[in-house]
Amino acid sequence: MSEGVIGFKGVSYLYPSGTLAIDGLDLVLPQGKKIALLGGNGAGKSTFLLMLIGILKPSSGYLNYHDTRYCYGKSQLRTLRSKIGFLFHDSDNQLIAPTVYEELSFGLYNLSKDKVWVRQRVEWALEAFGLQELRDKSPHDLSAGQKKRVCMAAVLSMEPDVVVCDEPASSLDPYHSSLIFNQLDKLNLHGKTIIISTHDVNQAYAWADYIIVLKQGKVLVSGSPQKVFHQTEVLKEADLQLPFIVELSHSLFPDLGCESLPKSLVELQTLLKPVLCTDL
Amino acid sequence: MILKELYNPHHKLVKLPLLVKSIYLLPAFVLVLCSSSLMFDGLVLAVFLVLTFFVCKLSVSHLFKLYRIPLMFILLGCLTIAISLESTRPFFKIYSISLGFDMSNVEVAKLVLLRSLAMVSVVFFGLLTHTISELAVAMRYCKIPTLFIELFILTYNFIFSLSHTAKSLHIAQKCRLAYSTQGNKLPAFGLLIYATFRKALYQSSQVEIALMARLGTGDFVFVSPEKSFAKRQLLSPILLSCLLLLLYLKIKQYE
Ligand SMILES: Nc1ncnc2c1ncn2[C@@H]1O[C@H](COP(=O)(O)OP(=O)(O)OP(=O)(O)O)[C@@H](O)[C@H]1O
Ligand SMILES: [Mg+2]
Repeated sequence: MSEGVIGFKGVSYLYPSGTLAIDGLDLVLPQGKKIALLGGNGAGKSTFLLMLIGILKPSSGYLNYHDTRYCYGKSQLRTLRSKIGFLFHDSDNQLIAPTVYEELSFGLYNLSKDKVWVRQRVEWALEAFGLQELRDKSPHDLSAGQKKRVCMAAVLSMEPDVVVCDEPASSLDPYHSSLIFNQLDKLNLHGKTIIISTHDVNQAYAWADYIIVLKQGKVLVSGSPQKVFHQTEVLKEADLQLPFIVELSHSLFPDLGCESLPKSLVELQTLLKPVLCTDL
Repeated sequence: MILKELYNPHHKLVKLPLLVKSIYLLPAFVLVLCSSSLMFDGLVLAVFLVLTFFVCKLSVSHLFKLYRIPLMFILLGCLTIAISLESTRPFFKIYSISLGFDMSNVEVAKLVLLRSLAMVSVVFFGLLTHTISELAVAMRYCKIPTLFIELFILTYNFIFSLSHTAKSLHIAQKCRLAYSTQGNKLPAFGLLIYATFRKALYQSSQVEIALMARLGTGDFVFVSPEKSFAKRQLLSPILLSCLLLLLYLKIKQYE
């Protein structure tokens, strides 16, 4: 238990309208890992993530942060949220300031009243997320992808211990998507835990260290990407496809064990080399 | 909303701190309030129209669009002042009612017209050169209670999200052939109003959640970039204010 950052103990969540979105979860999110939450539409991913920052309170069961049980009082929530950053799926809900610069300053100023430090962090974030050109624009007038980047910068500049992102790459072009994943990687190198939800199995397979597959509010399977994506049947049940690399390796080497599944293009090449050489 | 669309984030005063910008505005505002001369009000109106034109880089058509609504209201108001029912020189007469202009009333109407327009031009210039957060800072300087400032910012956001939502819902409705026949116009409009408010309410609850997630406590403090200015940048606002003051005094002397 001690190596987990957040733990779920028999957690269920019932929306007031009667949908059981999360159904008796028992789970530990490992500390310092890149975690991807996979699942089809309506699997309960967003609900899961909203519970992590205490916006939704479980109907039954409870959550732990570093072995301390979640409390839903005002000051406890404030402490929790200064440690867990959250990126919403819908950026429009997150934008409130009149300019991008001030949008970035909002959370930082709530964190510390030191304006010099706030301005330094804002400048850093503008640079790191390629937002310098948009700094004086109104966030409402940006494109969907630009809005997403502003929200991302606003959350990541607060340097939370745990970063929770609901579909961070949706509506981003490939360049800015990789920019954001690079930033997430950098944070992870500093020991932060990153949790994202996504439908993109290729991205999840290549990027994550730990994968959780949800279906109708239940965990179907969790573990390392190789372990999870080795279980073809389970993935089908969760309405997910296999990552391209896994599918290719399966078709070329049907008896490949889950440990030796290639994770990247380079690993696939090394796997293929002996085969190609004998053919020549 | 027009103001929001016409706000140019690259206007020429954007790098100046609030204090310097207020030197442009406050003296002019106070002088217009005190003045009782047509000439001075006209002058201020002209100066601020030109300033808005150059500083905010608005085109003439945009300027016209901006002034359309206040102009309409002010003209209407002035007409009601100017027209009297017991005129000595009526142009219209039924029974005992003689509709016409009264010279003394016309004088008042002229003064009201020009003064209001001058005031509007100063206010518009202010609104077009300040962001909403600068206005909030100014309000804080004026010791306006936090509750009002919070309300001000939230209302601003709410109106914005309302109009945005209504626009996109309207387009979505049109794409599905609403408003195409006489018969379905009214129900479609009713649905639009309903859906807009429902969605805007949902959105504001989401905004609240998002604010909480970033440790928002209710007072909206944004930090804007550090603004420094050279002493010579003080020159033009001070010059402008001095000029206006001089003119004011001179005109007062002759009257
Ligand atoms: N505000 C709400 N009120 C009632 N039911 C809801 C609400 N939000 C979600 N649900 C229901 O809860 C279930 C899980 O929804 P959730 O948003 O967590 O799914 P998701 O995995 O994030 O899906 P997606 O990939 O489409 O974003 C769904 O069946 C959904 O209909
Ligand atoms: Mg979702």
